[in-house]
Formats: sequence, structure tokens, C-alpha cells
Amino acid sequence: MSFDLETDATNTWCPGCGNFSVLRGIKEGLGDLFNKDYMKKDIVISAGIGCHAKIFDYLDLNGFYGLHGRVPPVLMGVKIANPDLTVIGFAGDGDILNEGVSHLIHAAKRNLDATIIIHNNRVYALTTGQFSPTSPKGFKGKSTPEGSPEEPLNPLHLLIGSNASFIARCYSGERKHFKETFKKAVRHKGFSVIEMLQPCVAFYNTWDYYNDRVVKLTESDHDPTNKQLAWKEATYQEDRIPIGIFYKEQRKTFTENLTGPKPTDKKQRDIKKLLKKLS
Amino acid sequence: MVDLSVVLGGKAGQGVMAAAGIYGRLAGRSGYDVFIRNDYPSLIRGGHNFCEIRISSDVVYSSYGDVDILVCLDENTYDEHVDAVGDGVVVVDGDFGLEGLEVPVSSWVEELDAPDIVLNTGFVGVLAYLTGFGFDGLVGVLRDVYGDRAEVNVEIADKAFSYCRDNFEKFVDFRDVGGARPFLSGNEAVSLGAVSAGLDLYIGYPMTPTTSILHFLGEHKDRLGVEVVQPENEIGVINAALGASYAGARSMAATSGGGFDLMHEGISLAGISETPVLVVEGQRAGPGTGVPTYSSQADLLSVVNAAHGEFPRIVLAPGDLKECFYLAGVGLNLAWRHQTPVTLLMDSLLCESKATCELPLESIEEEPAVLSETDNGYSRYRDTESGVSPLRFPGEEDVVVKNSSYEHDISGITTEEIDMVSLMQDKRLRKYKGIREDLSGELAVNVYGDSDIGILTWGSTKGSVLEARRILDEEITVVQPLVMKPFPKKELNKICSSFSCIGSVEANSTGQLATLFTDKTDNEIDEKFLKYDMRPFRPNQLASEIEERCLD
Ligand code: SF4
Repeated sequence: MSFDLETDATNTWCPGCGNFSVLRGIKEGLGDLFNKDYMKKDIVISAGIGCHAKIFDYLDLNGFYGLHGRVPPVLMGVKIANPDLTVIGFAGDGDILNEGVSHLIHAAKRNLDATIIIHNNRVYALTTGQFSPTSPKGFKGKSTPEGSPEEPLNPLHLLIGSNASFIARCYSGERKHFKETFKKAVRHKGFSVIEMLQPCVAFYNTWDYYNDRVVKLTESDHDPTNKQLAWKEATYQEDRIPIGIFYKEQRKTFTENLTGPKPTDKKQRDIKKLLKKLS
Repeated sequence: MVDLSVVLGGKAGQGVMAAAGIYGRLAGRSGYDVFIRNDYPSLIRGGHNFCEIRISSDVVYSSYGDVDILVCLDENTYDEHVDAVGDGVVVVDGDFGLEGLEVPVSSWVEELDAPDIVLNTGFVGVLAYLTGFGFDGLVGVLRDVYGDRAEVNVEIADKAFSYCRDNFEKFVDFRDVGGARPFLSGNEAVSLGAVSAGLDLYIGYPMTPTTSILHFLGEHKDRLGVEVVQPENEIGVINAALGASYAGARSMAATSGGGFDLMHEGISLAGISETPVLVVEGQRAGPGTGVPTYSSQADLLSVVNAAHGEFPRIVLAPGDLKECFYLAGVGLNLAWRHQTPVTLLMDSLLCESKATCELPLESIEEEPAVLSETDNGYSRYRDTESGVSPLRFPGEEDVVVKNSSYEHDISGITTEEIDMVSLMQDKRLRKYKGIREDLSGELAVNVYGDSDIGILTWGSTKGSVLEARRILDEEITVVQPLVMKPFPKKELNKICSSFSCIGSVEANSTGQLATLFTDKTDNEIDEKFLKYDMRPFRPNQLASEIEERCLD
């Protein structure tokens, strides 16, 4: 890591939280990217609300600390204003799969050139332990002492269905793998999402569960251009939870598809002529 | 002086508004003042659409409701409006078998094998003749409006015009006195005002009555230098607008009451993160979905208090096209000068009515944002005397720009420290001083007249009140606050303290301006004139009510 991304903020995550390896992976990944063709000044981050979002304060980067679930539209605005910026969003499972789920789907559909990390700890952590959209059925949280009555949502399936152009899953216990995947996601031109399996030691400690089950998708057994295969692999299985890049495709990005004058363009503002036309 | 009220009506889908628009432009080009109110239910085909068109050689502020010429594109229009036609004339299609000037427009449409829609142009031809406009002028407008499709329209207009010339007397003779003025809607004036103040991005989700901002800017984006985007919903709209402003693009969003409710959390986010944005709220009738295509002024108290928490809010309320233009421009500039959300509070009648108007183009120009040197580092939320911190944008060398929805320290990092939290709250609220200075005097309140009878009004209702004022024998003073937050109490106290009677005229059922006024100033309202049937105040009726209750 050759770039200092430290801030003065005191880190308040619980010791052992899966978020630490996201933070470190990001710092290391960006450090690598900065040495190549990315510049710190051109990075903009955004975060929703939740434990995941504290990462905003821990990174000395441009950013907009937004609201619950609203990371995609904020990043969309940033990209419209200045398409040269590289935008990275952090979101939680409760954050982006409940409050912000429509924004996520639409950002994928329009292929916004952004990278979103979904910190999926499968529980509401900052509000002290209620079930989330990805909690397993029967999850005993504070609001569901008898167990959650709902089937969990699979974020990767949702993203495949929404035509996201880069879909990956990583695990806090595999930091190097995350760092490399993160770099690819940032380099991807289009909407790239990483579902980060992120254990929450306070409310849903899944370290052992994942350690036993997580396997890496390898190039020899997974073709990331095959959507059907991606769908199949993305399914959580009892004994095997694959991580890696499930799907990717190259298509024009949202800002490339916009046809109006860019905010950064030198403007023609011909009001007088238009008024003549309206007379 | 010539002054005329026309009602032109038909089914939705018959091109009633297009016809009124063409006729209005013809009158505007011929040198007259024109005002058109569209009345249409929330449906796409059938039903009853009509336009009230007022043309005068004097200034017009609103439509009237009395009818000099009634033009019926369908039979229903006849039934609905014939009683309002006093000494005027009624134009009907030859096929209807109704009493009036029968013109066989529909049979010409058939004869020419033309599309049904050109029936509307036929009736514009009739109207043009009856009101004394030359045929060449009409052809000019048709060519400009229809381009490639003009010929069939010209043909049918020609038939109608010639037929009327051979068979009828003119009803009134406007003649061409020249001096074309722009003819536009409130939404269009708002768009142009914002563009004049440097609008880079318009972001909107369709909702009556502000949808036409999306259409207008979408159509003219290249000429006006504006990017136009329609995201997934109003929450997406406001957050994207803030993201764009944060990254240096001047953004505007528009919606109606329901969409504005959805935006509240985003407005509050703009407040704490000190991100500039201009939001247009076009009021329509009713809570909930209400009556979507009709007008009211019932969101005032909600909008001035919109969104949770305490932060500097600015709410501006224009009352005519010039003010739409001017306050949209002022609003966008103020948002950037003070780095806080600004709401432009409109109403359906103001958004969608069209009128001739010279916009005060020179009065608005883009103001640069407050930028700082970065020699000694940059802090997004540096504490300053005015409360406004210097603004920088991501992408600049040696600058880290952090905006935050959490309470934060000067560099944008989350804080829960007692002193910092109070300091930031004080810093933000301190902006009110500068805001009040910017929004004082004539910019804050319009006054028409010099009598001790004061009539308070706001928004589009002002038009009807000014018309009523013309009708009254006795002088009244019309007082129109243009700023609703921070409310111009100093100005209003000065203006109103000597009034012997203060009335308030507004299009809602509880008197929201009256409430605000009483709350903020040292004055009481003596008489409330309230109308909430979604139609504008009728000047004649309003004049007699004012006479009865304030002038006796
Ligand atoms: S509550 Fe859970 S997610 Fe939040 S910091 Fe602690 S361990 Fe991490």
C-alpha cells in the first residue's frame, strides 16, 4: 500500500468484524490502482447507513455520505456531473436490498459505471439485530424471536435479473481474493457489484459457517460470460458457497448513452433564439 | 381597448390545447396580450377538455370565465358552456345540429381524407376569422408549429377561414398591430430562469403539473446546454440531484406535492450536507393523489416546514411568468450562494397556463460559487462568519471533498462531540442572516396600489386579484409575498400596519397564507377569501366579494 488513505476518525467497528478486511482490501486495492492509471483525486465514494457505511470516515477520499439505500442515485448524479470520476459505493444488505432495492436494480439496468460493494452480514447490525433481506428463514432476531417468517433474497440473482454487467461475490476471510476482485470491478466499465460475505460478530457470527463452505470459482470450471451458469453458481448451497466473478459483460455505460450536453462541456445557452421560436 | 374571452373545448385527444396554443400564438404575434388556462381531467381519450383563452389590447393577468366566443369541437362542450355565453357567439360543427354558427369542419376533414386530428385546426381557422386576424398570420403559425405536416392543416384552415368570410360577420376586429412576444407556460419560464442561472442538469420524474419541464428541457437540451435525466422515482431524483451538485453540476428537480413528500429525506440531507439544489413543487388539488390535473395552493405550510431537523430553508413563490423566470434564476443562485436547498413553490395554474410575456432576461446570470484557495488545505465545512464554507469539487488536485448526512466535523468526518455538533448547527443556521439580506425589500414582497384596504395573495391567484382590482371602483392594495421562507415579516409589517382592513385571497380551504402571516407578523387577517373548487377565482365575483366584505 503506497498511498495513505488514513483519516483521523476513530474506528468503532467491533473487534473481529468482517468489515475490517473490506477496509484493508480497499486500501490495498486502491493503492495498487493508484500506482497504475488511477488518481486519488478522481475517486469518489459514497455509503448508505449502517455499520458498513462507517468505512466512509475511514478512507481519506472524496465522497458523499448519503442515506439509507440511496448510494446508487448519488453516484449516478456524480457520474452525470463528471463522467471522468471513478465512483465506488458501499452498501449494506439491509440498506440496499430493502430501502434502496429499486435504486440498485435500476442502476444495474442502466449500467451506471460504478462499483458497489454490498457488505452482506445478513443481519441489521447498527440497529442491534433484526432480520435483514438476506437473513435465512427462521433467523431469530430481536424483532423475530420465533424466527424470521420470510425466505431470504439472493442479491446475485437479483443482479443477474437486473442485467448488472459485472457480478461477483467475495468473503471477508479471503482478503487477497477480495482485493483482486475489487480491482477488476473498479476497472470494469459499467455496473459492477461485489456481494461481500461479511460476518458480524455481534449479531450473526458466520465466520465458521463460511470458512467451512466458501470455495473459489476458478477459470477452468466457471465461464463468467454464461448467465445461466452464473445463476446456478450464485445459489447458496448447504455445503458449498462459491466466491469469485460470476458474470461479466461489456456494454455501453449509462453516461455514454446520455445524449445531452455534459455539465463539463462549454455551454451554448441560446435562450433568445428559443424565445423567438416560442413567439 | 379590445378584450375577449374565448372557450374552446372538446374531447381529450381532439387537440384542444394544441388548437388554443396556435390561436394564442397568432394573437401574441399580432401584438396582443394572451392568457390561456387549460382545464382537463386525468384521462387520455374522451372526457371534456377545454381552454379559456383571454386576449386583450391591455395587460391580462388571468382568464375570466365569461364567454364571448364558444368553440365546440364536440357536442358536450356546447352543453357544458352554452349558458355562460351572454351576448357572444357559439361555433359548432355542421354535423351537430345545434344552434350557433354552423361550420362543416368535420365534412371537410372527410372530404380531404385528412387525419381526424386536423379538425382542431379547422376551428382555429374559424376563430381567426371571427376575431379579425389575417389568414397569412395563421399560416405562418401553422408552418412553424407543424413543419412537414403543415400543408393539410393549412388546407383545412383555409377552407374554414374562407367559408366564414363568405357567410359570417366578424365578431371583433383585433387586427395585426405587430410586436410578437414569446408565448410560454410557467414551467417553461421556470426552465429558462434556471438555465439563465447556469443550470447543468435537470432531473425529474413525471408528475402533473411539472411534467412539462421534463418535456421542455428534454426537447431543447442542446440549445439550452442542459442534460436531462429521468430516474426511477422521486427519491432517486433528489439523491441524484445532490450527487450532481456535490460534483459541481447545477441541478434542478421538479415534482408535485406527493413527489415532494418522497423527497423530504433528500431535502433534509441537502440541509445537513450543505449541498445546493433547486426543487420546483407544483401544487395540485387534494391530499394523496387528490385531483391530479387541477390546481390548488394547499401545500404552503407543508413546504415551508418540509423535512426533518433544523436547517436553512428557502421557499420562493412566483405569481406570474416573469416571476417564474426570475425566481427560478434567483433560487438556483441562492442555493449555490448559501449551499442549501431552495424550493420554488408553484401551482398547477401557474405551471400550465400559457401567456405572452417578455422575460427579464438581463436580470439573471450565473453567479460563481464561493470557492477558496487550497494553500492551507481544504475543509469542506470550515467554520466561517457567514456560515457558508468554501466549495470545492472532487477531481481537483490536493483536495478531498467530503459531504455528509451525519453530523460531521469541519472536514466532513462523522462526529458526536457536543461542541462540534452545536458548532455545525450554529454555522448552518447562521446562513439565515445572509439569506434574509438577499431576500429583502422588493424581492420579498410585491405591492400594487396605495390604499388602506390590503388584499394579501400569492402564487397564480395574484392574477385574479389584479383583475378584480381593475374592476373595483374603489382602490385596494394588493400585497404579494414572493418569499415564504424566511417569511418577510419586516417588509409585511411595514406595508400592512396602516391597513384598515386586511383580506387574504388564496386557493385553499384553511387560509394557509393567512396563518403564516398572522403567525409571523403583528397583524390579523380580517377577511379570508378562500376557494378550493380547483378553478381560479373569477375576477368579477371576487371583486364583488371584496367590495361587500372589505369596502363597505
Ligand atoms: S455490529 Fe456487527 S457489523 Fe457492526 S461493527 Fe459490530 S461486528 Fe461489525
